[in-house]
Amino acid sequence: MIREVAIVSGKGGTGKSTITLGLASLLKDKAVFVDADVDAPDMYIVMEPELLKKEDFEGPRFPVYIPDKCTGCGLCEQNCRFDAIKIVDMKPIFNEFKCDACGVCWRVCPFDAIEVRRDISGEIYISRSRFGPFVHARLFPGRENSGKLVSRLRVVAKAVADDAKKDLIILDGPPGVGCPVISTITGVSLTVGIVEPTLSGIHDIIRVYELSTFFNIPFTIVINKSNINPDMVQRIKEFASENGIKILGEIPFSRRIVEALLQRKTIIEGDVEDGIKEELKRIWNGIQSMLSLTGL
Amino acid sequence: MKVAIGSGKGGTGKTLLSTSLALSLEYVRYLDLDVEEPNGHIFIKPDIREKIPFSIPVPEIDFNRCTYCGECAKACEFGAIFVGTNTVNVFEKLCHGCASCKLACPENAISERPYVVGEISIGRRDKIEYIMGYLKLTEALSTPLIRHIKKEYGMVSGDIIMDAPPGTSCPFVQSISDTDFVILITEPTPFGLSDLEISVEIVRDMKLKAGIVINRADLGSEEVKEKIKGLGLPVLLEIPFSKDIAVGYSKGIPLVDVLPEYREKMKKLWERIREMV
Repeated sequence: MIREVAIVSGKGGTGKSTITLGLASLLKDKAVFVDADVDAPDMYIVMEPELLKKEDFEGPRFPVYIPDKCTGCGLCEQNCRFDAIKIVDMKPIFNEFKCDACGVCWRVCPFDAIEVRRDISGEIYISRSRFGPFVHARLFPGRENSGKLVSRLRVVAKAVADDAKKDLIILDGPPGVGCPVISTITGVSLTVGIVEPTLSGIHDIIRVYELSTFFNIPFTIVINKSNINPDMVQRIKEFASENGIKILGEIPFSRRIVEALLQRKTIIEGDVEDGIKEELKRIWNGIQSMLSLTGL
Repeated sequence: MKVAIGSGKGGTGKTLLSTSLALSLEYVRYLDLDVEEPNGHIFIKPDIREKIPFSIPVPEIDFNRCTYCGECAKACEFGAIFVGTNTVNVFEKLCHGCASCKLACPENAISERPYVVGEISIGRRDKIEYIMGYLKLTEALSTPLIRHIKKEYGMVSGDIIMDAPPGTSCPFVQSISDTDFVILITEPTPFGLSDLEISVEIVRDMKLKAGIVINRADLGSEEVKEKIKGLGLPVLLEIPFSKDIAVGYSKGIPLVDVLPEYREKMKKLWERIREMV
């Protein structure tokens, strides 16, 4: 059976990709890694993937105006709830950035002056990396449906895992708690929350924890940049123990980790302080025992 | 003047910058549009005087009229309605509130009811009028809430600072649309750069004026910094990495309280943006 583990955080920049990349280089070829942060994907920078296969991601249907047929009646403008259409001098001015692609305008137009175009709003990539199979994507700038793209990405990743006979998929998730995060975590076996010891980090991880709990997914924590504020680390520990959440490990803030990433190296590959690589291994062991995986 | 602060990559300092800007200016409105994970309140510490639930209109089916013809489901681009042989299921979490279903129904069997997806908090601290959107947990769509806050609270004259969500998809686009200026804050790492390039493409497509602030400016590479400067947008300010700023941030202490000399820098930044606008 294929298991999926999602790495999330709520707040951005707490170290999701740093930890996920570290796991990728630790697990070397034992899992399929997925960058599910589709509108700001960064894992590729260190993974240096070799592209094997690409597929288009079809986004929503968008309206296209046919000026010859338009009489400027204004029905589209009146019915659009997103202020995406303005009739100026009897002609529709369409603002694609405000459009929700709901289809009301082309349905209400009595003159068939609005055609429908299916938008290609992103691409999905199946790649090979020095750490094994890597599945990633790119949502084109400003496009919609990042949640749907994540769902599709997970389907592709499962097929890749099947082909490569891997029974583990690790997903580097997006920040936030909305649509793409919900798509990333629904149905996974475990969510790992990466939290930094700041008030914002704590505020945001609690939201992700509650979200994960709502979906009945086991939740566990890694504290990153743990040396920034010991009091806040203490608070995270109290929150975890009150809620029965296991803390898998702590990684300190280190300029040498930043240096490693600048050289496109993971924590495992880089020249980092003593103990950090061992801590990451401990974190992996923790994930493993939570999944009760054997033989990996 | 309406200014949005965005980034692409998360955790580069949007809230650090936008709260410090707000605290340095006279009479300003601060909108926290990062409605999935709003953090501005941690630094501004406003007195909240009002909390208003925010809802979107979702379809309500009148089963006395419904013939299960399925036209509503066909008209829904979001898959939010399922019609079976003698059932209709509405999935509120997928609904955008566009009324396409209602318009499509030949039997006039669809009306609308409000469905709460979030909350708006209104408060004040000194000269800052504070407005925060908070998406209800397990709700997927943040754009309707962002759109509503901007329409309801972002149209006044005067200075408005909008703290945008991370990413480069619809919530970000919605947050920066109809602003006078967008500040893109980044870090000089390949990650910051990669996401910044996407955001720059968007502000260009949207024909918005924009500039860049480099945070933790000494914690990256010179090579990446040069690439950031080569993107064609002015670099307005560089904030070096400092343990004091990081520790202050962790406790909810704004940058301008950790390093008071930044108050002047924030004012100058604002004036420079005003000149550019």
